[in-house]
Amino acid sequence: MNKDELIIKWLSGDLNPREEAEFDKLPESEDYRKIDAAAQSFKPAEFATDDNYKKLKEELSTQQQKGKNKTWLLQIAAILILALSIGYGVFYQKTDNKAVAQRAETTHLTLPENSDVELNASSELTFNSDQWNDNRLVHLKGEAFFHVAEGSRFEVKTALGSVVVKGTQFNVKQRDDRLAVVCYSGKVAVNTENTSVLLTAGESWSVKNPEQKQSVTQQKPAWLEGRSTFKSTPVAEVFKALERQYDIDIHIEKRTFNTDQAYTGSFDNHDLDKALKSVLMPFDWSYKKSGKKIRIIKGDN
Amino acid sequence: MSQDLHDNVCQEEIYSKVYYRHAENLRNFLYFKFGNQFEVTDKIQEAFIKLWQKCADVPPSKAKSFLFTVANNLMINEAKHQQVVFKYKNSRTPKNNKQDPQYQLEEQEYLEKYKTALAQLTAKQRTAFMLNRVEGKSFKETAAVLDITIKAVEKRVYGGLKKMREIIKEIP
Repeated sequence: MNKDELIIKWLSGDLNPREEAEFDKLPESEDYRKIDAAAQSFKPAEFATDDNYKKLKEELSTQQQKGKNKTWLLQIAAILILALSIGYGVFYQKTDNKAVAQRAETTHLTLPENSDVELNASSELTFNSDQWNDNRLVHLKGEAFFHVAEGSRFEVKTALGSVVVKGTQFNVKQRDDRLAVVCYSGKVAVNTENTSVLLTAGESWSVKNPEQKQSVTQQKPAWLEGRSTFKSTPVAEVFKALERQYDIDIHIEKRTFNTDQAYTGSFDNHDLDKALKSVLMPFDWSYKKSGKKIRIIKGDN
Repeated sequence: MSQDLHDNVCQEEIYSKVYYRHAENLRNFLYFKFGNQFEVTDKIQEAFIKLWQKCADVPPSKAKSFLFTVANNLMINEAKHQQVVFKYKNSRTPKNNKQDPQYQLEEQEYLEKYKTALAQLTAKQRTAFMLNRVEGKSFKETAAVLDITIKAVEKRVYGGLKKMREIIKEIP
């Protein structure tokens, strides 16, 4: 057997132990094994055949109602309409679905077409599930991470602009007058009054700096892993984030402390003392705690 | 042959069989050929809708080549100027296993090179290589999806493997 034949036989997984030893002696065998092992990292997302077939049938039945007569689909459509109208009367008295994450909590929800959403603390998401097919729109106040089901499209509206999904993972953060969007995979379009930008995987954008896209290396936002991170952010905003994550009130004397100073770093979302220390230490500040009230004081060393 | 005369894709039973048999393979084929750029699933559904509209003209034995041709054309129309890009996840590093950063970094760098190399294979090499090495299909199964001989699959997979190694070695 020549070398090419040996390697092809290795690829087919049919080597006997003697041939295996022979393969291992080849100078390229180590590289080939590594290439083979790493292939697993490139597996595409699972293809949900059942779900996708169901969706296809629904799609066909809506087309069918307009068009020609194909009986089995009409029957399905009829059952579906009946089931929907019963379901409508019983369950959908209210038109809007609303998910809220209070202070100090995060919430998980699934949109009608199986996209997953994580809501960060003190955030609110509303959408209309019974009109979802006509009106694929969610309203967001606060911050959320979207893991969009393959092939699905919808729009996220915030007070400062909207984000159009093109099948992807992304994070939208709208707090007060700031809006920041990070795209982790796929593509999203961000539209505000003044600009519209297209983000691809690994890019982020913020209204503060609308001319320039930033690059990100993380695979998902830190808050999903229980940390909040900041890059050159006024410390006043960092305090607000602390208040949301821990349901506390932070009091700071603006005349004594300059809260416009920028902070770069992160804090833990589950250990208040540690979190406060990691924010305050760089400024040489400290704090006093009484119940839910935190007062910022000058560092004592 | 006689079966084709009686059965056609307009019957739900046969249509659904066609879907279950080919939809996933079709998705994988398109994904491996064009990368992570488009809503591959949308294109597949579109191809199946076309198949339904033409069901009277397409015998079951021709359904697969009909679907692959239609879906491929739908992709090509959009793909013209796009680069082939793949997503990966470091499946060999379990989430809770804290590995030293140096190792993780090297892994990451290797997978980045891998991604670049995949994009540089020819579409024929890449689809065969990925159906076989990523999806774990045998040479025979790969040959069936691509409608080519087993010999041709061997040649493409092996050619892809050699090229992958060269490209990965060249990237600093």
